[in-house]
Amino acid sequence: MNVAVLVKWVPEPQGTPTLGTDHLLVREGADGALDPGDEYGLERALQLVERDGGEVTIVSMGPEIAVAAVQRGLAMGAARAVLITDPALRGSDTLVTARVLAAAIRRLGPIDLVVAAVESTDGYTGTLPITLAELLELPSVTFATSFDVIDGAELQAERQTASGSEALACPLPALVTSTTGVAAPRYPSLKGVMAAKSKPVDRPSLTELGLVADEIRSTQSVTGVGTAPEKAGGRVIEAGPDAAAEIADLLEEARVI
Amino acid sequence: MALLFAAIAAAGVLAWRRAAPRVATLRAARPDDPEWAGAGGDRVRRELVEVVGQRKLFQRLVPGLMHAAIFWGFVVLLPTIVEAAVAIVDPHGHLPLIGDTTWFAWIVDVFAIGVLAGVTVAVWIRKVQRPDRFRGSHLEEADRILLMITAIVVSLLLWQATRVALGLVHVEGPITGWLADSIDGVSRGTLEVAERVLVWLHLLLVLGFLVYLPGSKHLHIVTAAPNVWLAKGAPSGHLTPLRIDLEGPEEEMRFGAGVATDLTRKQTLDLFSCTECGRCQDVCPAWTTGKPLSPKLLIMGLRDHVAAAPAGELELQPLVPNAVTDEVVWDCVTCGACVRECPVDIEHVDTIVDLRRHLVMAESRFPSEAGTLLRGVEGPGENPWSQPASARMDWATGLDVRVLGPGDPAPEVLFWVGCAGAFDERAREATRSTVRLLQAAGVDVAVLGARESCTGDPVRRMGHEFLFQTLAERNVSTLNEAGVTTIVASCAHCFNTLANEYPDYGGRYDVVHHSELLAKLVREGRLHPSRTSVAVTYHDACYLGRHNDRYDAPRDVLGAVAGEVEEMPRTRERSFCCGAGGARFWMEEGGDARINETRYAEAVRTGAEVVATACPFCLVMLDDAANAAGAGPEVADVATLLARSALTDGSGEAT
Ligand code: SF4
Ligand code: SF4
Repeated sequence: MNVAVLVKWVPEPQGTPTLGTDHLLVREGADGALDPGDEYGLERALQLVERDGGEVTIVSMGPEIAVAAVQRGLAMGAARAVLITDPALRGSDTLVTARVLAAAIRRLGPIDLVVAAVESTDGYTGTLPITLAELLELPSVTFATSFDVIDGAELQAERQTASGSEALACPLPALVTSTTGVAAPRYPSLKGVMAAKSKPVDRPSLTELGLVADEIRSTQSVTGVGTAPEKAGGRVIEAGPDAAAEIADLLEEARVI
Repeated sequence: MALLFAAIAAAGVLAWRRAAPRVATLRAARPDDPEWAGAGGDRVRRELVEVVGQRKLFQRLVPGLMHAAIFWGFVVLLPTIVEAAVAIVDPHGHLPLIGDTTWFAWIVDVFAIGVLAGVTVAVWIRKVQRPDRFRGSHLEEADRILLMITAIVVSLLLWQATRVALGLVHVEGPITGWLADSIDGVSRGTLEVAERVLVWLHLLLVLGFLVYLPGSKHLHIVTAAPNVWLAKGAPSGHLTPLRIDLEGPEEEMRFGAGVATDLTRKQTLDLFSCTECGRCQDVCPAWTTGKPLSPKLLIMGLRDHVAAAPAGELELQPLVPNAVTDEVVWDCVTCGACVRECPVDIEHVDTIVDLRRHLVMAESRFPSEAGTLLRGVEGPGENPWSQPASARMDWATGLDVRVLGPGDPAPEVLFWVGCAGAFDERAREATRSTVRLLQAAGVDVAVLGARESCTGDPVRRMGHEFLFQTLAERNVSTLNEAGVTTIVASCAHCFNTLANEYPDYGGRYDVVHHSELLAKLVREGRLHPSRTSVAVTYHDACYLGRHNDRYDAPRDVLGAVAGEVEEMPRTRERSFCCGAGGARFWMEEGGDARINETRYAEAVRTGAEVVATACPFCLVMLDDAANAAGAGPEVADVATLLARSALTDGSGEAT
């Protein structure tokens, strides 16, 4: 079974990233890493191929520094990686990104499963995986809290809904987006880190991917960025005879009870 | 004569055949790194104090006297073996100089009786007293050895008595004289036969003992002295570095101990030196709170594993979980109590860390909770709390603390805050107190602020040597560039790493612990605490006390703010860990009892109103125990207590 796992380099979640005048992230000197949200799906994919055989290929689009994220994935145990880097792709919208990734995945040959995180922890658009599934003409299961492959032919997944959970199945090949529940990511061993250095990382150009200028022209752009309003301070209810009733009123008001 | 040589030769061959596999194992072991093999001068002293003087055995009086009597007797009686060999060839023969002298006859008698008394006490300890430390030891083997020793000594005395009675020697000791008198009426012919039989019996018993030795725990009589010689010695908090070069060829890299041949010579000799006495097991915080780890069983497990493997197949089976289980390896708090107790200087902690190194770096196998430690330290904030570096100075809100910027003049003293001191809510109070005290005493102090990283102590003790090395190199370069010469650390772990481990990475500073500096400032009259009569006990941090022999400074500080320090039963070099060391702070605890709660209960029993600590990890662990107990004495750092008493400047600090 061959699995493609999408990963993304994101600026360090705890840092304070700076945005340029074009509203895009200033990447020079920024600390970054493999999106922590990607590690869960990657871990699950690794578990599946360790059990059933096959390979995990990491697929990523990003700036030069994204090599670090790809290396981390390889250190965790992926067999190889594809990383697409091109200045023309800076600031791409999700449709263009999906086209690039779709081209890269098609180029890999037969893939049974594509795994992605529900959304990235920097952009949070959350629309990329579905767009990609559409371009690849794959069935997709989103928000999986667990997933498995049965006999190399069927994807079974559970997803959490507001009122409970659903169990879904669909034939492979398919695309699944994973939440943090699917597996506990492994910590790469130092041996793994060293071995990652000699694993193949394919760096195809846009021409090699067969993409023409029209296809990589973004139609969306960010036109403004604002700061979120400060959260109002909480209210302290002092212990007293009326405290319980007061809290109950508040909860009712908030429609919690 | 021919018979004698044949007997000696046969015993030699048999003994060698039993010893050969062990020798082969030792030769296959990895040579110890000469660069870190320890200080030479100390070795002679250790041989004298620990081997000849039996110091560690005397930590327990009765067993100590027992063992010393047998050991000294054994050493003193060695010449009688040669005397017996000489007498076999010529019944009238004697050793030159000491043979047939009254003083030696007396010495033989006195020490022989000493050995017999020692054996009697040993039997009493083993059969009547039955201390728990023997749980898991091979008791029948010890019985056999005690029986053999008795037979050797009794045959010696009886043989000497027949010689006196026959006039083959002209002097007598008190015991042999008395024995000779009591066989007075026996005919000369019978005596002559008895003399021959006894001398042969004695010699054959000695040879038999020699043959038995190599495969038994009693091999320690051969290996103890070299093992003590090879021990790395003080400070025990220093771990031997593993240089890791990621660019080098992978085959040349060693990630710690994965299989038996990864163990160093000393680590292997440790295995053959263990006497199964259980002194280490008795003091181990893990074992005594019901966890699977016993340092004794760990050593025995490794030894049995090594001994069971046929030569050449040592490297085939992983040590974990075949020789010892994963759980055992992770239970250790690296408190060093076992090492301090071991009479033959077995260094359990180094072996355990080497096992962890392999598990972490080669296999990425460790309790999953500990992953947060590695990720946090590896992350951008470089601390186990996974906080951003920008939060490193949050503790200093409201204080005027100089943060050393690049290019700033070096301060008189650099205060190494440490991650616990910077991020843990409770530990921050001690950090603030320390800075305020130093400032009040007029010390020119500064901190590194966001440029400080974890020293790497927890990741190193967890086995991630590479991550430690990265942090050590970075911190050393920051400190060196800043021109730092003196560092004060309020964390026992930071103190140990900065003082003992950073020199291996080019960082040589004058490192003091905050308790030492504070005690000095009080002594010099630069701080003026007022004394109250509150009853206080002090908990020795392993990495300040046992690993670095700093016991008095924190007590001096306490003496200045309170009255006498009520000592706990386990104190100073025999203190009992709080449970945080060896990265255990970040792991879940199994077993019957919690280490921190066990220690807190011990502190409560002193009747103290305050339990003083001098390390943020001890503070948090014991405070957690206090919270779990619901009520009981307060836990506070010595700096906090001193600040309450010496700072009445109305700074508005809630103390
Ligand atoms: S270092 Fe402490 S916890 Fe570890 S084995 Fe020795 S006594 Fe036990
Ligand atoms: S390791 Fe040392 S203290 Fe422990 S049982 Fe062996 S000889 Fe005794």
